[in-house]
Amino acid sequence: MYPDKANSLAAVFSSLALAAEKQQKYELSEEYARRSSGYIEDIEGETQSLEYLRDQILEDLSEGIPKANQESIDAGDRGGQRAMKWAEKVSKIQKSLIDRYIKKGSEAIGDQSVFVCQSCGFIFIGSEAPEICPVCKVPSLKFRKIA
Amino acid sequence: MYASRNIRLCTKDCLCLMVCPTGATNTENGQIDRETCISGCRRCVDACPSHAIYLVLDDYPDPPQKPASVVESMLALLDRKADQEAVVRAMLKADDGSDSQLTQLLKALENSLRVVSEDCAREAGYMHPEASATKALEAELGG
Repeated sequence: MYPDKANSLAAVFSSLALAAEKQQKYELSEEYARRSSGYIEDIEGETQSLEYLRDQILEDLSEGIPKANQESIDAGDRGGQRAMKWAEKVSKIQKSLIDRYIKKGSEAIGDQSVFVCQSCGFIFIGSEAPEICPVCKVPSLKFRKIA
Repeated sequence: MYASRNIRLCTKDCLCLMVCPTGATNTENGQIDRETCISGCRRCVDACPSHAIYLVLDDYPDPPQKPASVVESMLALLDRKADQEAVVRAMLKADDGSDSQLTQLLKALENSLRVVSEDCAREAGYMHPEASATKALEAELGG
């Protein structure tokens, strides 16, 4: 049982690049990062509507995330349960932001900035990144400002 | 197991310089010299009042094996999140930039979906380079 799609392998290897960097294996980290972008170049995603994207996220909230959470509970896997709790909260934010754009269009963000937590994926709209991520509790330095 | 300095926490108290038997902590680049650092010595780790020095393992332990049911459901979610990211990437490619708020939203979603995918990958067993799942995957992919 392996991840075998190019899209998924890109994420597996970008995650390994981060892990290698934390271990200060910088050359290995760069190699993983190169491999990750290689998979990205391989594939062509198809453009869809924002509504389509929102419905995909909603489907995960009602199926994929609860399923993986239940399997983690049954296996006594706390890491898996933690990941699914974050995935649930982050997916709800993604969904509500898409809804906000569908409703308000180019007024959705106003003159605020957009920040993404690099630890859990939480998206925040405001003038500055929150001091502590409300989902995973990391400090503001883990937020990336979207240019 | 060698020492490493987190320069975000370092407040230049320089006690590490005084206790280091080899001078490995005294470098120009702010990092500790791995060549001269004595494995497991940890004098600088204990001396630092800012907790800015820690030991890095040579080999990280293999994370516990997960049952197939967990791996399968994490990989299924990874596939979906990665596909959603690819859709967003295609939308960004097609985006003419006429609405900067849409561009920002798409970029944020692309980043956020990737972070969630990476978490699923880790929870499916691909925790770090030394994990047996990672080694098996690399063997499978050839290289």
